[in-house]
Amino acid sequence: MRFILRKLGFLVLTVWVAITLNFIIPRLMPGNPAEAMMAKYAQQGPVPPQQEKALELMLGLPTGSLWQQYWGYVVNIIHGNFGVSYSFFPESVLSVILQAMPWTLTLVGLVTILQFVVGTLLGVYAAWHRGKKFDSIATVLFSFTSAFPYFWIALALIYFLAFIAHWFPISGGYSGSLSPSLNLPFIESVVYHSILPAITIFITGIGGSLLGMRNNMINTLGEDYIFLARAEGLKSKTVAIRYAARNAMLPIVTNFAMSLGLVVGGSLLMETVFAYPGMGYLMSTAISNQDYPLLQTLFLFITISVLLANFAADMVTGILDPRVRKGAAR
Amino acid sequence: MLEVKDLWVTYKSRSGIGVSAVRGVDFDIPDNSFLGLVGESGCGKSTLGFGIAGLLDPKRNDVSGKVILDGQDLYTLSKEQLRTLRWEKLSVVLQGGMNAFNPVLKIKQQFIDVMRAHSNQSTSSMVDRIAELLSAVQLDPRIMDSYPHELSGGMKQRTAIALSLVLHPRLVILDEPTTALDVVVQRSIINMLSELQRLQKFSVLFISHDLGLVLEVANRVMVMYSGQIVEDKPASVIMDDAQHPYTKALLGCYVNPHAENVSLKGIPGTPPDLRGGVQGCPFAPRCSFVMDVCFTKTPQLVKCENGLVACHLYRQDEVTVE
Amino acid sequence: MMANQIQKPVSSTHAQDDTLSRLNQTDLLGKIFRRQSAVHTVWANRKARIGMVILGIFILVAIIGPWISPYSLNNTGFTVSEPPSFAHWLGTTQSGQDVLTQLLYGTRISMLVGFIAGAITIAIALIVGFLAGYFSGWIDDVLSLLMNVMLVLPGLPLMIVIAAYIPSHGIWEIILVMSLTGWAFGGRTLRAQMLTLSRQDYVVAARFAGESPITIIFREILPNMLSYIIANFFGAVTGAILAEAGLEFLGLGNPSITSWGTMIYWAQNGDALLNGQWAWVLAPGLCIALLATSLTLINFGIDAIANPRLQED
Repeated sequence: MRFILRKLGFLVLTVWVAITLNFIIPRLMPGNPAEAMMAKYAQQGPVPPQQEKALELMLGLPTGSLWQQYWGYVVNIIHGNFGVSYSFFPESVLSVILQAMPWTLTLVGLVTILQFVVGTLLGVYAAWHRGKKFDSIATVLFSFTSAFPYFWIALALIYFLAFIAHWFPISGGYSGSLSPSLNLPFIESVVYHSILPAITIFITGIGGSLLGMRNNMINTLGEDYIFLARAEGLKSKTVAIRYAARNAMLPIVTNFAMSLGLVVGGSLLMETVFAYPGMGYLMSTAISNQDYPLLQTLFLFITISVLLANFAADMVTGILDPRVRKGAAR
Repeated sequence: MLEVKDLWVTYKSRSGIGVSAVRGVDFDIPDNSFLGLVGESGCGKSTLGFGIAGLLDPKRNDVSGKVILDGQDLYTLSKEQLRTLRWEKLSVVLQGGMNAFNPVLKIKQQFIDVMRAHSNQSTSSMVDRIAELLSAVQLDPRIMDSYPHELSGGMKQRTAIALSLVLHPRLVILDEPTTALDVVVQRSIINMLSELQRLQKFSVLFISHDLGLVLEVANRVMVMYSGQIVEDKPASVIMDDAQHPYTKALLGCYVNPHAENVSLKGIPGTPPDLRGGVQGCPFAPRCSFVMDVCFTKTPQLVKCENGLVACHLYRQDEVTVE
Repeated sequence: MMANQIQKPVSSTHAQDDTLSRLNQTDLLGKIFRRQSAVHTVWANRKARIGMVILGIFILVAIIGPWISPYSLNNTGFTVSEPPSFAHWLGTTQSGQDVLTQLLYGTRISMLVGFIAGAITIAIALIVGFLAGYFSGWIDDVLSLLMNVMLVLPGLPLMIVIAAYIPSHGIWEIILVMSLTGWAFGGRTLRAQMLTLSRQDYVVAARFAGESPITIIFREILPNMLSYIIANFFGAVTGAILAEAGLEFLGLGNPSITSWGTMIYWAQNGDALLNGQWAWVLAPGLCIALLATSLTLINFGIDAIANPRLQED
């Protein structure tokens, strides 16, 4: 229970840090993009006063004391009022993001978990058969694949499998001739379009999972209780899974949470390459249009998603490790 | 019951020069005996213990010689034969302070895993057996529902002993079982162990650096130095009839013949570097009875009045006085 | 006997240390030998050997690249958007530059950015890690919390937001942004290592002997965690090279310099892939991946020093 509260406290703290960073960064920077920004908005058309206020607070237009600004900013965030988007004027930032979010969450979320599970299992296998063929090939091959930038893998896949071989579409999240709805042709199109992005995340992520688990597992295999388990005449499958892998998993789950930030960063770039209609593509749109409110709110949403995933991973560690659960030394 | 014949264990090294930690050891362990194995750290006593149990990693060690348990040579068995034999006939207790238990499984579960690997029993009968064993080592049977980190060092070591007995083994090898425990806990665990051995009549190989402790519980003592057994005698006589200078030194009543006063002292010098083998008696450089022959000829373990000893002092026929 | 317990394990538990201490060499000589044996351990690891060779080649190219490149970087007079040919092994760009020439020049900038950002990152990590690990108590609590917070905040989005607000996008701004957001991972591992080492007998002894913290850190602790520092440095360099490429790719870098990242940016802007100019896009990416792999592979060997269990048989 204390463990859950502590982790919950950390979650709240990190969310607060993210929100505050988002407030501070525009105000720390030299120059004043805020006024220019507001001027550009004015050219596009009338902005409702409430939205205008939200934009001013987000961008750091100096009105009132810093504390008043901060307070107003936090209240706006709690009410989900992030202003209107410049690039998608006059749509609100929130509605733009909410349209993109499911795309990223399902694709990146599912593939990341899949990649983690497969990579970890292969890591167990490599460590158990250490020095054998699979291990030697896998460690070198996967240190190579995991070193590739996400967007580069994406580009290579597009070139070979989409441009040359015509097996997959070059970009987008669904066929342009369909409109989003929950019918079979649309879902088929979505799955078809998501294959290359999925392969990208899978290829670049799996190396880290595999290598991390392999090294941890090798460490664990040197533990006294593994030696004793062998002496006890336990079947090697029991020793490998129940005694070694089960323990080697624990730091891996924590590392997985830590590496989520990287995975998300890479996925953002991947989406840009594929013009996949998720948050990453939206972010690059925001960058090229200098749509600061959209950019900042995206940062908040992405960060909070990562933080929530982290919290979930912590809870899983708590379930897997009795020492953590009872708040014992670790 | 268990016979060890000319056992050599060599640690492989990448440079190619292996280190022989156990060098040609012969002995036997009869039924219902409490055998102590004593020596300073690095003398190969733990390696010998694990070598007997067939627990050395063949990737890291070369083992030659025979370990015959109930007529079967452990080193000729198939993997599966060895697996089933382990713990049913021969179990081990690791050093106190080591992580002998899987940190994420309850104690009960770890006992059950062992029983399941060797037999088919109902869970309730297994739980009964665990309770019985825990009571035998003077623990509250309810601790079976604890995780290892919830137990103290002494409790863990008692549990480890209980676990070693779960399949009624013929031989239990204990490697420094009370190291890292405080003296009071050590005492009670040793007493409990010797009581259990008397009642259940399994054999014990008790490995320790503490000769005094071994003398109290064992009925026979083997002294090991640099990978060899140098003296092997009943515990009752070794105190008064230690022959090997190393045993004498270990007993702390080593007498310097040139000194006017008898004083207690440690053993000067360090054990030899075993790389590339040792010529002559490995103890020669530290021995105050050293003779020329000690540097050229390795003394063999031979019969003497009360047991076995490996020292040129006791082989008159081979000592040539110059 | 007591003196033995206060030995310094300079290159951790490693088979050759035993030999050396037994041979009773003088301290200085022993230290040099042990250092060498550390290099040997890395070199003995096949993967690390491959990595060192690749890294060596890249360093060489970074130094002599401009001399061995077939054309001048400023030469924009070639036929634009050519696919790979004999005259232009990797083709030409949309603005008529030779891609191979860009690649060779870009090696220097990309490596410089990666290594400088890696060095600054690890310097911050070292300072924070040292402070937290050496002075336990509230300093540690605060710094550890800071590190944990920094660790869970996703790095690239944070970099993007900061970079988007920076008025000028020079190399140094990029380096600064990457260092400020990327130090936490190294900080955490170095803190843990520092904590372990500062509880070692020989450090405690030095403390009781009245040595100043600075002396203890530089003489007693730093040499013993060198392998961790190097491993983390390489990790930070890898991260920086990848992050730089990402930022450049998004157009948040400085597109007027020639680095691997900007090459991909321009290639993507010029729809290089869809014009069949695969080499323009794929070559710089391959270089990034090869360099990052070489550092990862070297780290396999360094890990083996710090953790004997990972040593290859």
